[in-house]
Amino acid sequence: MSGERRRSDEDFVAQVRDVLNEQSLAPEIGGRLAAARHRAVASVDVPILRAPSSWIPVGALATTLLTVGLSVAIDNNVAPPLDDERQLATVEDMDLLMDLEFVAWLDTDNVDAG
Amino acid sequence: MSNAAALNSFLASVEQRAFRMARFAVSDSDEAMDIVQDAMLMLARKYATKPEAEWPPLFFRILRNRITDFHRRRAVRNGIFALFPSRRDDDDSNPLDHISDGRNVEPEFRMQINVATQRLEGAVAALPARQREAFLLRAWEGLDVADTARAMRCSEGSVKTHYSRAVHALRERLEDDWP
Repeated sequence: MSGERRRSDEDFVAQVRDVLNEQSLAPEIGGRLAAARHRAVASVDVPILRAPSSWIPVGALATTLLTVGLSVAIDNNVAPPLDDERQLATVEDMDLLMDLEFVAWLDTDNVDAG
Repeated sequence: MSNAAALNSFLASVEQRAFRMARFAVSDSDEAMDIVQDAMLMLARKYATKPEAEWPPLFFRILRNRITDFHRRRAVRNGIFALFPSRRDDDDSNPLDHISDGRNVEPEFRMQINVATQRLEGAVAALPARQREAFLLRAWEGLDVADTARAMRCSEGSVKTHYSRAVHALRERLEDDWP
């Protein structure tokens, strides 16, 4: 019974396949498909620009060396140099702060300046 | 045979069926053409160096992915347009429900085929997508279960189930025409 059913299914599928295969597409569609196929096949010969895998270790080494070099350069200049104007402004600010603190101390502790 | 010649031969052998499979799925000749073109280009650019035996499942997997992308884009587009004021307030249907099941094949194409074939194509198009894929890849394209599973990204068991259900559904729908 199962064998008959399977055989019957196979016949049915074969019949469906035959009917589907009988149908042909319009020539215009066939032409467009052929043109698309030729474009696709032509694209196989176009070299794709990509880094060869053998360059990967070289690139990694170069990156490492660059990173180490930059780290050493940064370590040798612990504090970035200030320009002159900023340096002067910083010193003047410190003097002003010290003066203000001194005046405040005099005021709060009622120190006799004389 | 060179690689390009072999690829040309392979694509020539599948392009018409691929186009019709895509048209079953999207119900639009131009969209189906774009989908097949994309699939051909993708196979040529990325997988031409693969063994020829791997091309059929790869090609039909790409084709299937492109069809899925098409439906996703259309669902998004429908969703966006549904936000415009012309949208009826009482229309709360899911945009995914509007995805064509393939029954609306273009009239000019319909004119070219006879009634029995029309019924067959209608029945195939009306199958659920997974059943239709399994049936067409197995019965029409001639892929074996393993390659069909690779193309559909599912287990071989699922392929057998989808295929069996598709055959059963088609026999039921076509029993008047093909006893």
